[in-house]
Amino acid sequence: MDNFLFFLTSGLCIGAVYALIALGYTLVYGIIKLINFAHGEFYMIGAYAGFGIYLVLPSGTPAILSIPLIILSSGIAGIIIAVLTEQIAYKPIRKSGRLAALLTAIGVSFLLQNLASFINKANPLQYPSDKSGSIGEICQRSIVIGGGGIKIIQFVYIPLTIVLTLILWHIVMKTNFGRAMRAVSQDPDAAALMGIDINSVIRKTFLLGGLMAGIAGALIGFQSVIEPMMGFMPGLKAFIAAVVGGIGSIPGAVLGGFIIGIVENMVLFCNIPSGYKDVAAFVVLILVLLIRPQGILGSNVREKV
Amino acid sequence: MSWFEFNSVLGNIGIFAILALSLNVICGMTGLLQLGQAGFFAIGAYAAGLTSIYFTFPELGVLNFAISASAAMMAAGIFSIILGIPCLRLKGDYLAIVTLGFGEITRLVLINLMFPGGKMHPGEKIGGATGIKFTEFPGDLWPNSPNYTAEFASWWFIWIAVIIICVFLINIKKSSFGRAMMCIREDEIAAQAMGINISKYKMIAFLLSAVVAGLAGALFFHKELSIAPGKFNLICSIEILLMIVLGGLGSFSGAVTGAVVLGITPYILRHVEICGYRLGEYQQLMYAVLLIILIRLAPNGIFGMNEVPVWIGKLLKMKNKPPAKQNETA
Repeated sequence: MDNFLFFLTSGLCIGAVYALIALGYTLVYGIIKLINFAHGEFYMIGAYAGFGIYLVLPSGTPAILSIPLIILSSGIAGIIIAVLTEQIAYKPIRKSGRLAALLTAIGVSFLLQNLASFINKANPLQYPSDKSGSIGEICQRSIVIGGGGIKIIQFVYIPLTIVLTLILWHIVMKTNFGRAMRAVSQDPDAAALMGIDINSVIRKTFLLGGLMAGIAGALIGFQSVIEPMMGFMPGLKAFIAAVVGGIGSIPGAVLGGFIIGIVENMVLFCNIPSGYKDVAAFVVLILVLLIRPQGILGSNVREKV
Repeated sequence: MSWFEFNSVLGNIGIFAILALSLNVICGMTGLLQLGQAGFFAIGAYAAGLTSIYFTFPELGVLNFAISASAAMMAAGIFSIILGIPCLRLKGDYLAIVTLGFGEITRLVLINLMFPGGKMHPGEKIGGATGIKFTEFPGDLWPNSPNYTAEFASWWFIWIAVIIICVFLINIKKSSFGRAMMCIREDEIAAQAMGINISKYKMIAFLLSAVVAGLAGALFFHKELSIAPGKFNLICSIEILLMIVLGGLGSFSGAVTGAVVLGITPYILRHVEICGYRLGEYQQLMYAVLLIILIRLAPNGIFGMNEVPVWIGKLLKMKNKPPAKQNETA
């Protein structure tokens, strides 16, 4: 029982990252009913963009300045790739049905993964931690909690996620754009009749989702290796988080993210072999879908004939 | 290309053709998106492999294959029922994600699972990331047959299986079962209103699809004799999906065509070089681009939903047309 606190903290930290990615899933799914499989790849590209900026910055830049810069540029890279994907791949097939859209999303996801491994030749990257005071070194410093070391940078995750979620909540609930977004998610055709530019709303939704995914990528890049396949599993888990919390619901996505993060770490806490860690999320998904198919905080939509 | 490689490539294409046929039952005919076909493939292959390792009797000869193939089909069928009963209530994308999760869980569990070695590897543990392997049975265990291997599935055997399964499934498609399944694909609510028991037919389609995929797994094991869980990943499931999309969702001859086209392409590309770039190295990149372009330009695939493409039918009709009116007037 002595290292319970460690696994709980660690689960909350990784859960915050899942929550950030899940927010993008939930927004996009809420609005065009598409499981955007490529969302995990936006996160991967965010991580790469952050590393790219790190290479460009002069080596003497203090970490307090460079870390926010990296996070910001990752977010921008996420926005660019998300909007481009939407415009090039998803927009032309929007009317061709769900299966076509889903297959395209899978195709885009594979395309981005393979492009990244084509450019990077599949060598994992990591912020170098040889010099004291460099980003890599600062990010690898850890504090001992409950018998295990938690990296300092991980303590940034939770507050950042909460702040971003509150901003998103404000945008969706309080602004005109948010009202347009909710209208499109309820009924796109009626929203178009009311004078809402659907294309612009969808584009901006992808923009928000890409921003969140890019920032999440930068955060994970600080503490572990960056490689082309890194987006796949977190992307799946974040989608599971969005479904568990109730897809289309912003608090649901955050709750789901934290649940998946904690459950995953509780598997390790219970001395189950770490290979089964990734299985836990899928088991949670199947259980939630069986007991409460609309998700924990989701609202039940009745199908009209 | 050596004879051995040719043999192996043809066999692999045949196995993927069976997988494409199996996925077409659930995706093409019933309209349920299944992203975890590699899971049933893996279960079939492992069931066949473990059965062969534990219960092979060289005296029985070919019957050994029948035993392990039935074990594979039964195992895949049982898992499909376990998964199907709770999950077939889900709709559309949710089912896709759960089946995807099932495929991944199967792979991850197989990576972490160890089996006792049996007669072949006494005292050892087999399984894990390196998978299971059927080596030769030494002659002193069975004096009558000096050395016994379970390698049975050569390319012609696999292709006979492809043809039998294809004809069988086309007949199912024409039967009332098939019509009920296609009715569910078109409109679930309308199907229900017509008195079709949706959950029953979905379950039948799911079971049939899993059993055929299990058979493909058994053939795969008896062809390779050594299998590892890494092969049964999501990319494998997506490749099968790509085959039936290319061939035309709902068309069984299309599924086989798609498997042949996608199966041969990498071996052709391996020998093509453009500006010093070996195209074979970018196979997955091209698969991804192909998938996106295909959905955009030809969403119905080569065959559409028909067993014989429409343009061939038109050609045949033109030949049989009565001579033009000119003769009559003359």
